This record gives sequence, C-alpha cells and structure tokens, in this order.
Amino acid sequence: MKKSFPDMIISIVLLAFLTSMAVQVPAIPDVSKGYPIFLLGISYLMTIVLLLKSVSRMKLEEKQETKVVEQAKVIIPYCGLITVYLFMMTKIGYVVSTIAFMIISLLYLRLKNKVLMVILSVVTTALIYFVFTNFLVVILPRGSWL
Amino acid sequence: MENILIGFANVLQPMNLLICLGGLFVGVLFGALPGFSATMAVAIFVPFTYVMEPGAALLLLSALYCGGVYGGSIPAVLVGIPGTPASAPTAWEGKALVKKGEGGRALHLVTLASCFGGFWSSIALLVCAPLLAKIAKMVGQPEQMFVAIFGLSVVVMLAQDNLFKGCMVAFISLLLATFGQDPVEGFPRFTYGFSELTGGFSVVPVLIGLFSLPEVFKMLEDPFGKMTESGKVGSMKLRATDITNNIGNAIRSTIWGVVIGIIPAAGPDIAAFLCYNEAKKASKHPEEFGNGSPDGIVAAESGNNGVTGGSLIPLLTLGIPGSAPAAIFLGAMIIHGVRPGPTLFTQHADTVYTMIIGFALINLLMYFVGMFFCKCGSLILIIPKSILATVIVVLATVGTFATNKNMFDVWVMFAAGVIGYIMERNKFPTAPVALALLLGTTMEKSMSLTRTMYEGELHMVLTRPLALALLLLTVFSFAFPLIKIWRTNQKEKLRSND
Amino acid sequence: MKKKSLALLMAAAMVLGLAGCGAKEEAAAPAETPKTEAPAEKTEAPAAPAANADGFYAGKTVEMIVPWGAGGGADVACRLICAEMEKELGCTIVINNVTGGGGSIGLAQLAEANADGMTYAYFANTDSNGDIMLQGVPYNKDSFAPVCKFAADPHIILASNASGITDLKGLIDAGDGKTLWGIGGAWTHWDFLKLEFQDATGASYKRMVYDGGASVITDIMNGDCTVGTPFVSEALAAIDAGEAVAIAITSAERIDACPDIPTVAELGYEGFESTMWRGFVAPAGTPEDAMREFADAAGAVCAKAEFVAAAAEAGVTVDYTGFDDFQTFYAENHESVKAYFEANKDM
Repeated sequence: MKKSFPDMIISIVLLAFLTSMAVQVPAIPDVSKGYPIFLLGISYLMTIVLLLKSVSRMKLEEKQETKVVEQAKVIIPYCGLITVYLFMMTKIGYVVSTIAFMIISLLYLRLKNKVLMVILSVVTTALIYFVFTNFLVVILPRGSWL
Repeated sequence: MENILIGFANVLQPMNLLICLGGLFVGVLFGALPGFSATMAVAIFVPFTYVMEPGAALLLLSALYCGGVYGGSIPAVLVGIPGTPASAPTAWEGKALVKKGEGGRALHLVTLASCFGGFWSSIALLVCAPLLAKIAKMVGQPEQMFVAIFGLSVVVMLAQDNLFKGCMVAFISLLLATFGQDPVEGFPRFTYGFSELTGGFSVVPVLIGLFSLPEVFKMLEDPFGKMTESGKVGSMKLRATDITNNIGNAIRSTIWGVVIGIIPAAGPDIAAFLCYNEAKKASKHPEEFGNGSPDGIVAAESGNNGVTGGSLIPLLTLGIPGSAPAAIFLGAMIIHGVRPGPTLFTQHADTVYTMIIGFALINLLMYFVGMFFCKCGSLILIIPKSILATVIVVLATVGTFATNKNMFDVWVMFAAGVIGYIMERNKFPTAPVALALLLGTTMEKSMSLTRTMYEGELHMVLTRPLALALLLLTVFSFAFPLIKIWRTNQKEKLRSND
Repeated sequence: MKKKSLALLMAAAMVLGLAGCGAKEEAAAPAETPKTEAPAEKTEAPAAPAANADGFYAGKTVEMIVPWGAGGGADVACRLICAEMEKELGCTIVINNVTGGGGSIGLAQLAEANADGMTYAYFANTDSNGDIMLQGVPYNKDSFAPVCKFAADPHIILASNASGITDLKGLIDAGDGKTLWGIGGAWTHWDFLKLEFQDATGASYKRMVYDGGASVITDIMNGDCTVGTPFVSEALAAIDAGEAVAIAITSAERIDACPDIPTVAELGYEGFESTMWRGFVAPAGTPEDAMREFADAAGAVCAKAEFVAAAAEAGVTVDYTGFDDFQTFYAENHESVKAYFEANKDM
C-alpha cells in the first residue's frame, strides 16, 4: 500500500460527507446559514487540497509493506462485536448482553484463565448494574425482547 | 475573619471531614474511570445532597468536583486514556514518561500540580471573590467570542508538525458543532432525520469515544503484552529540579485556570489546553513537549484544577455559573434555599465560608487521597491488555449511557472511537476535535449575539477594553507559532547555505 | 482500588436494604454519609404505612422522565414535588434526567414508553408543539395524555441599569423595535412572553436569543442587553445586588418571594398574565384511573402549606390544576402556543 493512499480515501469520504451536508443547507433559515456555509466552504477547499496532494504524492511513492491487513483482521471483527453488543443491549437487556460481551471479548483476545474470565465478567457486570440501578438511580436498558 | 473561623470550625467537624474524604474518593474514582466525568459525578450526586444540611451538601459536591477534575489524570498517565477531556494534554506527556519508566514521577507531579492549582484557586475564591467577580461582569458576548477564538488558536500550536491536517480537522469539527438547533431560530440543522440530533452532538460522548477507544484498538494490536515492558511505574520520587523549574509555570497556569474558570464560556478542558500551550510557548525546551515534558503536565494540571475555584467565583457572587459543574451547584444551592448572590455572604455566611474553607482543605486532602489512588492505580500496568481493553469498552459504554440516558449517544461514542482510531493511524491530530466541539457552539452563539448587539457597526466592539485585549492576545497566539515555524525554516536555510 | 470503593458503595446500599426502604434515593444519602441533623421529615423513608396503601401505586416504582439536566429549574421543581408525592402514593418515584434536544429526547422516550401508568414525564408550555417547532421530533400533541399541572412560574421583567429604564412606562416608551430583549432560548416560553407583552402594550423590541437565563442576566448586568425576563429564582440575585432594575412581575398577583415588585396587571394592563406552567404527562393510552390517582396525589401535596413554602424558597410557585380541568387547559394551551408560533415564526 502506498503511504498517501489512506489520505486519498479519507478525503474522498470527507467530500461525500460534506456534500451530504451541503444538500441540507437550503432548508436552514437565512439568519443562521452564513456560519455553516463559511465553514463548509473552507472544509471543501482543504479536503480538495488534501485529495490533490495525496494523489500527486502517490505517483512518486513506492509501495511499502505495512501490517494494516493483519491488524485489520483483529480490529474489524472486534468492532463488529461491539456493534452487536450495543445492538443487543436494547434487546436482551444490559446485564445479559454485557456478560456475554465480556466473555466473548476475553475469549477473542485469548485470555487463558477460563475461571478468571467468567468470574471477572459476572462480577464486573453485577457490580456496575448494582451501583447504577440502586445507588446512582440510572435505569440501564431493560431489553425489549425479555 | 470571624466567618472564616466559623468556617474552619464547621469544616473540621469529624462528620464534614468524612464527607470531604468520601466525596474525594468517589470523585477521583469517577474522574479516573474512562467514560465518567467530574460533571457526571456532581450531577449524579446532586439528588443525594437534597436531604443533607446545606454546608455538608456543598462540601460533598465540592469534593466530588475537585476529585473528578483531578482523577482524570491518573489513567491519562498510566494508560494514555484521559479519564476526562481536561486531562488530554497530561496524557500526551504522561504516556511518554511511563515509557521511559518514570510513571511514578509523572503521577506525583500530576498530584502535586493539581493540589497547587486547586488550593490557590480556592484562596482566590476566599480572598478576592468580589474583586474577580468584576471580571465576570465585564465578560459579555464579544468577549466570549474572542475567548473561543483564542482557545481555537491552540490548534495551530498543538498541530505544529502537521499544521494543514490539524486545521482541516478543526474546521470540519467546527462544522460538526453546528449540528442541531441554530442559536437564533432554533432550527435543527444537519439532523439527517434523527430527532436525537435536534440538540446537536453531545460533546461528552464524542470525547469519551475519541480519547478511550483508540487506545483500546491499539491494545488489540498486541493483546498479550502488558502496558509497559517493565510493568512498573518506577519511583514516585520527584527531582529537586521538578519543583524549582516549575514554580513559575504552575503559578502562571493557576492564574490562567482561575481566569478561564470565571469566564462562562470555557471550563477545565479549555484551561488545560491553553495552559499547556502557554507553557510550550514559554518553555526553553519546547521540543520536549510530546516526549514526556514535566512542564506540560504541571501546566495542564494546575490549569484545570485552577478552574474549580475560579468557576465558583461568579457563581457565589453573582449567581452566574462559570462551568458545567458549577451550573449544577447552582441548582443544589437553590433547592437548599441558599441563593447565590451578594446576600449570600451576609445571610448564609456560615454555609458559604464552610464551603470555601472546605474547598481549600479538600485540595490539600486531595494530595493524600491522590497519592493513594496513584499507588493502587499503578497496578493497572500489570493487568493483561485483553482484560483492560474489555473493561474499558464496558465502562465507556455504561458511562456514556449514564450521561444522557440514551442509546443514541452510545452509538455516537462508538463511531467517534472508530473515527478517532483511523485519524490517529493516519496522523490526523484528535485534539482539535475536542477544542472545536467544546468551543464551536459558544463561538457561533456569541458571534450571532454580537452581531445583533452591534448591528451594522461591528467596529464598535473594539471600544470594549477586554474584547480588544483578547483580540490582541488572539492575534499574537495565532502569529506566534507561525513566526516560530518561519524562523526555524529561515535558520535551516541559512545552515544549508553554509 | 476500584473494588474497594465500589464495595464501600455497595455496603452503603446494603444498609439501606436492611433498613427496609429498598433502593430509595432520598434514603440513600443519609446512609452513605450518616448525618447529624438532616431535616427529619425528609429523611423518613416511606417505611411507615403509606397514606394510600391500597391504591394503584402502593409499593410500585414509577419512572419520572425529566427532559432537562439535574440541578436545573425543571429538575428542582420535579424533585421537590415527587419527594412528597411518594408519601401520598406509597410508591417510589425514580427521577430520570434524559437531556438533549431542547427536551425533545426525553419526551420522545416517554411517547415510546409502555402506557401502563408507570412512566410519567415533566411537561411545560411549549412541549406539545414540539413537532411544529422542531424538525424530526417523533411525537405530537396526541402522543401524550395530560395529567395535571402543579406550578406556574412567573417571570420578572428586568431592565439593565445602563438603560435608564426604571418603570413599565419607561419600558414601553423604549419599545421602538430597536431595544434589545433577551430571550433565554429560541421558542421557549421567553419568546411567547415577549410576544404577549408586545400584543398587550403595542410596543416592540428586538429579539436577542441566548442559550439560557443565566447568560441573559449576565448581559443585563453589564448593560449589553436591555431587557430580559428571567424566572424569580434566577433574577433575585441580580436585583438584590442592585445590578439590574426589576420592572414588573408577570403573574396575576404579587408573590411572597419578592412582594415589592408590582405585577404588569396592576400597572395598567389588566388581565395580563403570562407564566410558565409545569405539569406532568403520561404516554397516550395510559389508564385514566391511574392518572387520576397520580394527579390527586399531586393535588394533595400542593395543598400542604409546608410544601408551598419550601417550593417558594426554591423559586417554584405552586399552582395546581386537577385532572379534568387540565384536559381542557392542555388543549387550549396547545392551540394558543401554536397560533403564536405560526404567526411569528418568520420573524
């Protein structure tokens, strides 16, 4: 992968994002339009400069070896795990989903001591749940499937 | 004087001392856990104080507030995750010091500087509150606008190595800060159809995600390793030069902290960034910043704790809260029938002096509580990263949820974390995001109000002395790093010519 | 170290459990930090037989959503009345501060909640028009079942010292469309009060929108803003300090907290009254019996002299409207707010 490649991708994504915002601008009342338009203009300009810079640099750069692929193989599934965790929280409730998340996460990160794993997950979750619901009076998600 | 003595007598009652200590323990814990903050500690405990005596209630809240602002720095040093945004500068320096095996020294510096800042800010509160309150009265909308711009100028200095990307991040983050209701009509901008975005992004979840999750992802790159190779924090002892070199730095940062505290638009986080920035400018070794500079830690910590006392000055004298936690104090005081304002010091003298004396004492006690936490906290370094990573995700989730009690914020936190990680990997600085989100809304609001005030004659803003001073400061602050960059370039050119 | 402190918290909570008052927050504080002289009436947990032991709510836990932050005006008012209502109903009321979106996030959460009478929310003047005033709000007037109103807080009209305005006449004379009138938040009750005042007096002022009452008061003190209409609890500090001039109060009658301030009505605009009311709503479809019991409990609390006094101290003016009357009040209020908004949204 070339060194400036990520910059190029990032600036393209940003351009798409800025455009999605620009589409919404006409609906804003006139009094409060100016400031976001000003920022939007500068952001567009800088993103385009970044894009051009990265493209022109990329032509000169050699391909270099990085560990991105291997690291992505660890990190992307973990992000998926967090997404599932957050999604399930509203479905099966805070306690169950957190215990499940902790066990799976520790398994995934290859913690060897299985007893510690279960105890840690259950105790941490129970402690958080207890302190939050009873003591700090925060109602944690109960779960709509239960 | 008599009132001060009564205050002392009240504070020294065993029960009140216990409240201070208990509040400090809980506060430091809240500050230290990623996803929990000083504001949250105060907000969550306000209901408890409703049944207490006013004096004791305010002591508890003060202890929570001071402890929370300080506590954020412990994980900042140890794991590089600032427990609260105000500790972000500490995290940069602290992490580098831990790598050098000087974590203990860093923690001791943090604790000492925090107590210094906090203690002298409470003295400022005690001695010259009425005088300093005059500053608060001078701060109108134009001044707030310049303070915000001044705060943003820090970006230029912080992102010196990568000025273009830093500024780009700052502008796009300012744009993110315009999400939600506009300041004049209340029209919800850029909501993408989400009603949750009506009020814009809540800053706290974004910052929790931005500062804690990237560290988690970095841990995943090598889940079996310990936090440091040695697994030790090293000696807690300070060097004599640590103190002698930093006295001036600490005093300057505390003064900045108190002043930032008085100004309603900015809180501990801005103070930490600004003081760090000022210390870097004043330092003889600016190149050390980012590679474990004790000066940076001292500046950030005495600055953010200096805010604690400062933010109470306009609150007690005029009923104007100088920071988010101070706004919660206001509610607590009202429910106790202790109404802030000029009558406070006459009608409720015992309560208010108990609080102020307690505030000073709390900052002294904080040294001992802090050192205790630092000693225990050092154990974090021997916990395997797999456990640490998991626990941080769980804590960040529950902390974010508890802040506003809605799942949307948790998703925002997660997204901010992923984006933050991508940014860090590609050398986009994340600090400008924090600054822009914290200051963006204030800036737009005060700008539009200033425009309403001086419709068509905007130059009249310059007739306000404080606004003019702030404007000059801002210009200097933007120009200084640029001149410095230009100069070093010139020198290099000369050198290469030789 | 985490464990240790958490264990402490747990131990404290356990003491509560043993004391037989469950997870009641009001009781939690004294247990955590045992105190010497807490006001006796407040610390008493409802272990004593409840006033309404056989009612629908006896022994249950009700969630009260306050769509504003802890320590704010809405929160303070709600906590004061709920603490008393717990005794009336014999239940536990958990206050849940769901902040953000100008109150719309908390109310959206209520609109989605089960209509079983176990969830209520704090509600004020302009909330039923959320869908008209804010884009993307998922609820409308009919998502809620109005329960009761428990307070109506008047505003104090303040003028800055620098303006030279000292009475209502001076204020009206200054109403040339250029004088700055501070608003504590776009399309909150502040805006409607300004419109009502302009309608009544024929004067007109320039709208200046702030992000909260505190900022308006600061700017009135330093003279940047000429007029503002903070609530009583916010305004008194500035008035006592002589940093601002109190012109009039917008309630129908003078109030005890500041008996010297005349009402707008007695200064020649008879019938002028503009207050921000505070009430409760439930999700639409909640059983009427449950809501009636809840409303009656609020009514019983509002009839107590001690409560009225304590509320006044905190800047809350008690003004109760029961279940039946509140139904019509809610509908009328909705229409009048809507009419004002539609007529003025293009300002």
